[in-house]
Parts: sequence; C-alpha cells; structure tokens
Amino acid sequence: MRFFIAIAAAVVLTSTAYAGHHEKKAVIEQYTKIAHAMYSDSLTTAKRLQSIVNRLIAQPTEANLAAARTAWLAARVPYQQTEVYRFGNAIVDDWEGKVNAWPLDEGLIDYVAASYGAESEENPFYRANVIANKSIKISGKTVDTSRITKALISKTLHEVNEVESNVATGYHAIEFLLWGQDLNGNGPGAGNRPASDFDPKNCSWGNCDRRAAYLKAASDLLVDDLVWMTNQWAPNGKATVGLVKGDVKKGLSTILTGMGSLSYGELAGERMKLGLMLKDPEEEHDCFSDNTHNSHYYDALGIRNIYLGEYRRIDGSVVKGPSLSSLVAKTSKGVDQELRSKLDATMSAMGKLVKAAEAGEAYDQMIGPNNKAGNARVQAAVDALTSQTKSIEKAVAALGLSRIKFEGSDSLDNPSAVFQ
Amino acid sequence: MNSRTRIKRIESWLINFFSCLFVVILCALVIVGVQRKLSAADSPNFATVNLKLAQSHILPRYKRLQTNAAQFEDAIVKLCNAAAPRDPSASQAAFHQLMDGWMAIEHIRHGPVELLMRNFRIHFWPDKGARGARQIRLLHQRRDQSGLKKDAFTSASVAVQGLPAAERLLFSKSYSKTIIDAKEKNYTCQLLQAIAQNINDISKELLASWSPGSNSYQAVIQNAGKPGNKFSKPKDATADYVKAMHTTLKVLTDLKLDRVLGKTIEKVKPKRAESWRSKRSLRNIIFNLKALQAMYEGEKGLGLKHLIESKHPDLSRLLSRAFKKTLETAQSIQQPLTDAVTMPKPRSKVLRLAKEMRALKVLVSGKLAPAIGTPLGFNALDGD
Repeated sequence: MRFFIAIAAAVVLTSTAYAGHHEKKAVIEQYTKIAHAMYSDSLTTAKRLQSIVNRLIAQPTEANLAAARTAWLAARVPYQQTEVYRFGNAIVDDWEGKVNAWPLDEGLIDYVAASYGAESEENPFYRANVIANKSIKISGKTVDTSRITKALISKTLHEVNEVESNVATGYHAIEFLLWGQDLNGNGPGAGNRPASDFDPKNCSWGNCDRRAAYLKAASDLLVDDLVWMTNQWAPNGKATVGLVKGDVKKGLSTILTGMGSLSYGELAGERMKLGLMLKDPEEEHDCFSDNTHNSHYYDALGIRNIYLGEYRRIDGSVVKGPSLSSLVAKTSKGVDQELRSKLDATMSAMGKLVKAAEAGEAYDQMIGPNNKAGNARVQAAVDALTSQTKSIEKAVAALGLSRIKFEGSDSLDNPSAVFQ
Repeated sequence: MNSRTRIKRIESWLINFFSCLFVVILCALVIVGVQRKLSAADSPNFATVNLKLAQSHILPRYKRLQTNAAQFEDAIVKLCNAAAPRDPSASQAAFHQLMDGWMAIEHIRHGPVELLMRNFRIHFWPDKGARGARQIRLLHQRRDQSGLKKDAFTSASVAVQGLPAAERLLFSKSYSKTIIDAKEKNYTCQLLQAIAQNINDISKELLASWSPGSNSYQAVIQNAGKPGNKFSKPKDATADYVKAMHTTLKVLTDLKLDRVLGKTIEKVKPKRAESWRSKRSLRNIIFNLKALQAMYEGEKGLGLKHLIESKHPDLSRLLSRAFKKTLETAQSIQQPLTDAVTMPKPRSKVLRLAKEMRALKVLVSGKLAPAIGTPLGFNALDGD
C-alpha cells in the first residue's frame, strides 16, 4: 500500500509541476496584456498631445501653450510606467531611444542662453541650432535642413555623430520646445518659453514657423513610434508572441530583469544617484518642465505593477490577472512578502518626493549642493530602490532562474575559443 | 492460514519492506545531499582566500595609492608656491604615479570605497554629459573661495573633486597656461590644491579602513559568517570579489574600449577615451588588467583561482591563459590608444583586445561565478 502512496505522491508532484508550467505561462501572458494596456494608454495621451500641439500652432496663445504642457504631463503618466519593459525586452530597448532619450544637448535644436556654454568636447553639434539654420555641416558634408520634417529629425539629426546627447526626437525634445530651458539652476522655477515663440506674426527669438514645424514633426513622430510599439504588444504582436510562445523560464527572467535593471542601474543609479553626486540641475530627468518627481514615481509604480500583475489605466479601469507575486509566494512566502513590502517602501519614498515637489520644492532644488534635507529625501528613494533590487534577486533565486542568461545580448557563443 | 493468505501476507510484507527501503534510501540521499551542501558552504577555502586577498592584494595597493596621493599633494603645493613661470612637469609626473596607483585598485568596488561616494570622488568617469567641464568653468567664473574649503569641497559635485578634474587643470592648454604664467596665486592653482588634498584625504581614509584593527573592513571580511556580520557566510564575502572582477571587465569592454572604438573606423571617438588628455588611456587598461590577473592568481598563490583549481582544473587553466593572453595583447599595442583606434593596423589589435576582454567577462559570469557558487546579481551598470 505504502508503495502505491509513494507512486501516487510522485504522480501528484509531477502534476503540480505541470500546473506550475501553466501558471507561469499565465503570468507571462498577463505581463504582455499589461504592456499592451500601458502602451495603448501612452498612445492615447500622445494623440491628445498631438491635437493640442496642432491647436497651439494654429493659435499660438498662452492658454494653448498651457494646455499643451498639461497634455505632455498627462502623457508621461502611462509612458513612464512602461519603462519596466525596456530592460530584458530587446524590442523595447532598441526602440526607446527614439522616444525617451535623455539627457539632451538642447542647443542642437533651438536657441539657448549664454550660460549653456559655447562648445562641448564630447559633442560638435552642441550649439547646432537647427531651428535657426537652414543647413548644417555633418562630417564635412552640408546637409539641407530648410524643411523640418519627421525624416530630418529622426534620420539625420537624432544621435547625429553617434553622440547620445544629440536627442532630436521624443518626449524630451517636445518638453524642451514646450517649456524652454530652465535657467533657474538649483533654485525654484522651471522653463518659461513664451507662446510667441510659435507665433510667426509676433515672433520672439526668430524662426517661429520653423520652431512650430519642429514641434509638429516631433509630436507626430511620437505618435507614429507609439503606434508601432503598441502593435508589438497586441495579442498577435511580435513582442507578445515571442514571450508567450517562448521558453517559460526565459520569459520570467525577462520580467525580473526589467524590474531589477530599472530599479538599480537605471533609476537608482543613472537618474537619481548621479544627480546627487553631480548636484547639477541638468541632472533631472524632466529638466525643462520640473516634472522629474512624477517621472521617477511612475517608473517605480510600473515595477510594482508588473510584479502584482495589475495596472490602473488612464480611464480608471484596472487590468488585473495572474501575478508574479503569487508565483513567488508558491515557492517562498517570505520572499514574496519581503519584496512586496520593499516595493511599497519605494512607493512611499517616491511619494515624499512628489509631495515635496508639489509643495514647491522642485527635484533640481532637492539635489542642489546646499540642501541637506532634499538630498536625504532623494537618497532615501535611492536606498529603497537598491534594497528592493536585493529582494528581486531573491525572487530570481526562489523561481530557480539564473541571472547568467540575462546577459545574452552581448555574450559570446564560445568564449573559450578566443583563448585557444 | 491458507496459502492464499500466506502469499498475501508475504506480498504485503514485501511491499512494506521495499517501500521502507525506498524511504530509507531517499532519506539517506537527502542527508548526503544536505551534508555535501553544508560542507561546501563551510569550506575553509572561502575564508582563507578572502583574508589573503584583503591582506596581500588590497591593503598594499591602498598603501601605494596613499603614498602616491601624498606625493602628488606635495608636488602641487610646490608648484603653486613657485614663482612664475612655473614648471608643471614634476606635478604631471606625480599625477601619472597617482593614476597608476588608482588604476591598480580601481577594480575593488566594494567596502569602504563605496561609502561617502569615495570611488566617484576620486575618479568620476565617464562624464557623458561633460558636467565636469561646465562645472569647472562655472567655478572659475565665480572664483568661489568658500567652496574650496575642506568641508564644502568634500560635498561638491564629484566631477570637480577628483583625478579627471586634476587632469583637466594640469594637461589642458588653457588651464595649464594659467598655472604656468599667472603672476600671483591663481584660482586654477587653488582648485588644484583642493583636489590634491581631497584625494590624499580619501586615500588615507581608505588605507585606515582596510588596515588591521577591530573596526576595519578587513575584520568584517575575517568575521564573515559570525553573528552580526554583514556576510551570513564567508562565501558571500567572496562574491564581492567575483562581482568586482565582472564589473571591471564590463567597464573595460563597454566604457573604456567600445565607446571609443565606435562601430567602424569612421565612427571612432578618441576623445571618449579615459585620460586622453594625459595620453595614458591604454596604460590605465593595462593596470586594471594586471590587478584582475593578480586577484585571480593571488599575489602569493592564494587568489580566486585557488577556489576552483582542484574541482575545475580545466577552467582554472583556461582563465590563467585568458588573463595572460589579454594582457599580452594590450601590451603589444605600440601607439597611444587615441591614435591606435584611428589607424587600421593598430586598430585591429585594439579590436582583438576588446574581443578578448569580452570573452573574459563572459567566462567570469558564465563559468567562474557558477564554479565558485556566487551569483552575480544586478549590476550598477545595467542602466545606460
């Protein structure tokens, strides 16, 4: 009899493992559904921005400029939550530079103040000012820039000369055109571009028609790019199919890679700690609009969303389904609880940044050299993100995934052969 | 008892016997497995190698760094106190010595150097946004004296506190001309003195934190696994060394070479090279590689290699060969890196070097870390 119990137990064990497979598939499917919802929302809000930009160009009033800025801020809410899809999904990472590249040398695009400096040894196009120049020289060749089109800014200007800070397209290029430079250093205040910058009849700073053309091209391009990415995450899109039909372990690794890499290297490191180290007002993600607190907040929220398998859409509805959280809990309740509480702690630290910013202390003030309390507030969020990364590593271990495979993109098939 | 019942009883006895045997074997297997796991975790090798590396690899290198930093500060003080025209050559030579010292210990990215942003304050690089250039220009415009005082300077932007800032002042034409020609004490010299003193101070702190003593980081490593220690077992302290090796190889390939090489020779970016102003980009790489090789082989025998030698003899030999070959390739490049990458023949050697370093990196993450049993986790360079 006991013999049969032993066999029965073995059978039960295999069948749970089998159920585990289905469960894992379901988690991966939910991950793709949330991506589709997030990119769809990003697209919807980008289209709203596009239509208000058109209105601003037709009627360059302060009210229309303010409406365009509000639309830009709203567009950032869903987009920032998608950033967790960037790392681990090559299809997103290869594309995202077109829409969210940062930081930028804005002198490439338009007029800048003298304090910006005359030149940069890293970037020959530091002050190229395409809006003011109907031709520019690129690698010795004269390039016609008399018509500012989507093709010109995306194919010719974006990352020209392979300099990453030559950002000619995407949210931050649009942000610069809507707000202008923030000339307040580590002091209060954001960019303050007048609506007359877009008014050929009453033009401030010259070339208003070209500036309007640039803004239109960049806004139209953002919509095009988001249409493409939203399609990749549709049920039969390339990104979705790749994950759903792919290896289950690899799929789960992708999700956790995105969570860990955004938490640590990108958000805690490049976007926050670096700012604290350099105390430089330019080291804020949304530096023209002073919206950085929200950008960071929604980045962190995106990480939490995909762990919990739920996302609140811009219309208030909630996409909810099988979660990584419950999958981790199956193996280790402790790890799941720890990670959930760390994600909550990060949101609370991020909430404090938002609260301080809404009370009038912008992010560039918080990272300033003589602001101990502000520095500490940002550092607390960095620490929370770093700590959350350690728990994500525990979740990776709990699910029996190896980190090594994550490196796939730049690994060699046979490294030993190099040393034969 | 009829034969039928007897058979039934025998059958049931047999079933009982075999299922018991099955359970016993299973238990035995589990116990053996647990023991093997325990003995691996408690292996004395980890503790020994950890301490040996701290004492014979890390400590002497921090000692050398501090000596170099003190000499650099002396040289700068002498330079700035001299009458115009001043000769910067002794200070430039002292700068090179100090850079050698830093590149020989740059690979250690854990422990005291992580605290108070010491690593970035000594050497913030790459400065992709060219913040250092702008901030140094702004400091000169404002002639900010109070910002140079010790307390204020240690919390200034890391881009003005360390070696790259010193290099800019000593080796760029415009700033070094001011140092040579200015009639009285000039702001450039004052800033340079603040930097030299700052680097010396940080080096002293690093040396003190790694020197023997109950509060030292050496003691933390030595007591790994004891109650209250940050490492729950000696192997966790070893993981930091492996991670340091992997991160350094990632920095070498991604930042020190690939960003400079560009995808084709037409897209080469020599001014993205580390220390291009003082023409020592390749020298930095060689010092980094020698340090990694020493951490692997051990300064006097006991390095990371010791942990895999007996169980993975092939891998241990492969890695020795890989470090040796990569270093040879680096040393075979005759021109400064900034020139070599732009010339077809030397460039092919640099490409070879990049390929070997990348292969080394993959061997460390894919072979060495699993063989030692230390997961690498997420990396600070995962962002862009």
